[in-house]
Amino acid sequence: MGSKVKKIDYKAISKTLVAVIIVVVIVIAIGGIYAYLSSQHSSTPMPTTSSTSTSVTSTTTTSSVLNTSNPQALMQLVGLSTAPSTPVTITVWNSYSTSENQAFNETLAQFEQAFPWIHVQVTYGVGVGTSQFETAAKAGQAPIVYRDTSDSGGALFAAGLVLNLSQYLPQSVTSLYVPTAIKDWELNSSLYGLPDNVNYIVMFYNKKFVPYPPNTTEQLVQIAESVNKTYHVWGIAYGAGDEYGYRFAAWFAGFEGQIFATNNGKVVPSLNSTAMVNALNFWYNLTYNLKVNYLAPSTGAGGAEGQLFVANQTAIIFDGPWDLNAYLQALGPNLGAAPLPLVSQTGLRAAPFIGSTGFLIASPQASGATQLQIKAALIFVLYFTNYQADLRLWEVAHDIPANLQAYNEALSQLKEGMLKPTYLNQIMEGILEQAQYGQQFPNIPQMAYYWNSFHQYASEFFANKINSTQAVQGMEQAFIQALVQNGLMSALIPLPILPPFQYVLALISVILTPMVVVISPKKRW
Amino acid sequence: MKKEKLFSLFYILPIVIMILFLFVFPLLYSVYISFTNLSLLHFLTYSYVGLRNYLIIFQYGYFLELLKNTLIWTIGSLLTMMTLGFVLALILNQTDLKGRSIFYAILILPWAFPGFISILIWQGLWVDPYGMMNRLVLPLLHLPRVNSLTSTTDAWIELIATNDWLSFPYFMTVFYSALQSIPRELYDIADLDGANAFTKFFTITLPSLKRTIAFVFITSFVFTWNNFYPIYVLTGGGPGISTETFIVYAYQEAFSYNNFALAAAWSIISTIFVIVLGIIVIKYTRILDSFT
Amino acid sequence: MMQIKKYRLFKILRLVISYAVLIIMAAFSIFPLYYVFVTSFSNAPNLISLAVSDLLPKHIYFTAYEYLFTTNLYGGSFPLWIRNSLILAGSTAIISVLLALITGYALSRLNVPAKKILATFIYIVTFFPYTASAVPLYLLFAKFHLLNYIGLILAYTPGTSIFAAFIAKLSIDSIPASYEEIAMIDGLSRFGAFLRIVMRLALPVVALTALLGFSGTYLDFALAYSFLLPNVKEWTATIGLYYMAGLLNQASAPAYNIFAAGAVIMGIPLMALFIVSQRMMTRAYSNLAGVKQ
Repeated sequence: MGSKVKKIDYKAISKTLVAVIIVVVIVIAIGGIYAYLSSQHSSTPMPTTSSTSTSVTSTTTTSSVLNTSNPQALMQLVGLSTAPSTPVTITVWNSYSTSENQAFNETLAQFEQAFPWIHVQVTYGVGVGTSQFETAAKAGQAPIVYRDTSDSGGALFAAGLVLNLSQYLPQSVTSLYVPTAIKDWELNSSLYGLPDNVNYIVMFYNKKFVPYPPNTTEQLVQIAESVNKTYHVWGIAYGAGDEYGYRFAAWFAGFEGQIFATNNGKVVPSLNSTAMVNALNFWYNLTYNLKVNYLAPSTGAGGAEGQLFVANQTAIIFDGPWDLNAYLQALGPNLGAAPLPLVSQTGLRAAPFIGSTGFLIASPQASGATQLQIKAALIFVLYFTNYQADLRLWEVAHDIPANLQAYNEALSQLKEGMLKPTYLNQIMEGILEQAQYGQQFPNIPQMAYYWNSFHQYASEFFANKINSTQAVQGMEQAFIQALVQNGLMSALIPLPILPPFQYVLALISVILTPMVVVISPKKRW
Repeated sequence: MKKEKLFSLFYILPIVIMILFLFVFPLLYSVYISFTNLSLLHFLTYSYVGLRNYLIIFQYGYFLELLKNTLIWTIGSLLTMMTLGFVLALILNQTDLKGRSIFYAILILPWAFPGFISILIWQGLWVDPYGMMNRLVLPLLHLPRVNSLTSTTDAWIELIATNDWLSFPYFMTVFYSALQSIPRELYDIADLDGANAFTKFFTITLPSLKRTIAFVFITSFVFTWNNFYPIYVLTGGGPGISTETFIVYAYQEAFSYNNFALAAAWSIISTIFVIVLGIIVIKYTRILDSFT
Repeated sequence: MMQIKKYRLFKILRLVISYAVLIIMAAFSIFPLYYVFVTSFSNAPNLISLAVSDLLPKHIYFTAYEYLFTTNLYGGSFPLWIRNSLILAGSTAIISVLLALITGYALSRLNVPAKKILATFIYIVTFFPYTASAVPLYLLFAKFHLLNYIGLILAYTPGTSIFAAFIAKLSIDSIPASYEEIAMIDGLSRFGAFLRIVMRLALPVVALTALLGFSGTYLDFALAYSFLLPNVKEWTATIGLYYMAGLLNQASAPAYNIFAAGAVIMGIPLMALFIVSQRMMTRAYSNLAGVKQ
């Protein structure tokens, strides 16, 4: 009885197995053949885009200063002489915080009064740099207007998902904005968005422990040590092992490093330098030797760094003005803000990325927008980055304005000490001072591959698994590999190619195991 | 006979159609784009590149590391969760235990409570040295502190301990109900024969649970292999990529690097692995035999 | 005499160890949930309490709960979102149950061609990771204009149904076929027999499937977010909660006390459901064991 049952068992099982293998092979074959047959694939047909651009440039040459608050001027700017008879709806994805939304809604009310023929459908609570935009774009369902950061917007623009504003607006539009801000939104001399704020990190300090902010890194270390000794709180809380390189780039620049270099006209990474080694060692020293820096696992007001700061458990953190409200509420007059210090070794200031958030318009392929909707969207983005809108953001949410007029107004308000409460003036002055010592936030597509490469090796370095030289080399290599894999760099630079052993191992484990399983005799458990 | 076979197809049709749309379609789509170069740079027009993505996966060195990590994560989690659930089920199954329902109700809570906040709470609990685990609980048990930023072993401890908390109630429930369905008579007969506890366990309890253990093992194996959130939230795959599994890496490839084709290729490779391992277990334990 | 004493000693030892393990595990289970509770009643928006004394709160603040119930987001509000979640999860539960029972019945009773291959195929195809299928599903449903509740229900159902169908099959297997044959002799059609008898006797499986289908939909964020983002009035409670706690938008500082309050509001009914259906779940899983090999 035993052997007969075994035989039937075996046949039945192997039939199933064979069936499964056949199905898998068919699936792969279908996928592969389909991909092969449609070798050049375009997802949606391209509508004509640039037909109306020529009419724009003629009208505004007389007025040298554009007035983006005047409805008539705005309509002329996009080539409309009168308001159209049928109303048009535009979809906007709003990524403002709750406090910023107060300003946004006021501006929205004004906008709807000025342009009754434009209905705005706002989706609140969207994040910046979200993949949801890309997914929606692929399905042709992207919103017409999206508020995003300049680097994420740059990647979307390079992908063809964002409208090239240079084709629709005159060059003079750029003069309305702070130069550093508008430069963030230019890629290959095409403008792809309009900024509504400028953002970068600054050094926040607690005046209870730190009477005057450090100007140099030597002073920083001294202050941190004395705070640690006297008050038994952390001098600094900076999670360098957790971050993705956004803040560390400031220190990298301070030690004379550059993320990118141009080699024969090509953009190549240059993380592999003594500057990075020195910057890493500096922070390693503060964390493990002097023990004045807390390697926090999370940043921001909601993270470990911010929580320690508001609980008076650390004297200095590095964060941006977007978290200002949380710190103001907690520390009140004890809050101070100052630019990042100067690196004593090199004499250069630690220069954070000067980035910018702003409005971009999705290309018609991504959103399915009509020409009229595009014009309405152009009016929208111009209006919401104009003087009043930006000034509102400054006054309500303390966003650093990107609109030049608003920026100057903000500066004069600070000089006259007009902000309430009074200690806020000095804080904002400290924050604005940093703008002079920043570096441009690269918005080229290559930038997207910096973050993970930095994070992987920096986290290993701060975990004491590798030394700084290995970390720096690793970062550079990972960066280059990512660029090569994604087609942004040709593989001329030799890359570590693994021995064929890996191939064979993978092949065995993936394909031959089922066969081994089929052939092996049945075992009773 | 044939008519009945056709008629019975109607009953199966709904689930088959749903599976075609909701599982087979994404699978085919992923296979399809893994043979192209779909990424943010080739978003609206992309082209066929053959096996290039697969070559990249095997060529650039992370494959074995990720495989090792995924195995550690899956097998480590499963062994601990199943043991914990099994032991608890045995304890709850004792006839002379008082307050069983109360204990059962409390122990089932981690599974019942929304995981999205539980994982965040655990993230806060593990912060070194401020979170409650490092500040209170571990010192109380005379265990060393756990810092997932500085040590890979610590990171794994953190991940597996949290995963245990999240899922042990499921195993406890399944094993408990399986234990409950073993007829008392078998134990009584064994008692009459003078068997001690160990003998009873190994000759009655375990064999009766074979099928349950196997079924639960294979479903949880797949679930844990593809489980993304705990690792992503707690350690982000760090330090370095030492706790990163296939699925977390594929996600990062898709949404940080915007290289959807490569991410799809990683997902396919991961799925092939889990299918192969799944087939081995199914065949070894003959679970689906009840279908013939 | 000694034998009895030894037996009693052993029994006491066994019980003491059992209770000790149970108490430790109960503490382990409750501790993080206690934390959620305490955080929801505080006015500090953070998760890492920096003093052990914070474990016993000195003041109870209802600010988080107030915020959740009173804030209005241009037509959407937390109570509305909870209502949406309940409707969505309830519908998914009902349809999952129907689908699981029909499929389980077919796999058990009916002579489906190539049953084993079909079962294996159904089982294996679910091994593909959920996170990798989110984007293709979005694209598919966008094409059919199903980026709404109907689409979501269709997307959530098979996940639970497949697992439940297997359990349903095992459960129906244990009901002898003669029950239906008797019913059919009495004049009921095949389908009538199915409804009348099987659903009544397979109640534990129904409860289990409903529970799993409900909780899976109730707690899902990723798919609901990508489908429902543009319509704030249609958001589910999970999306709404993430938004109100400031977790959707990097610009806002996360307010974990609000997140905790929302989780408590969402979690308590769910926990109650789980506890109440303990017995059903136990019986449902019993079929897995079965005594015959």
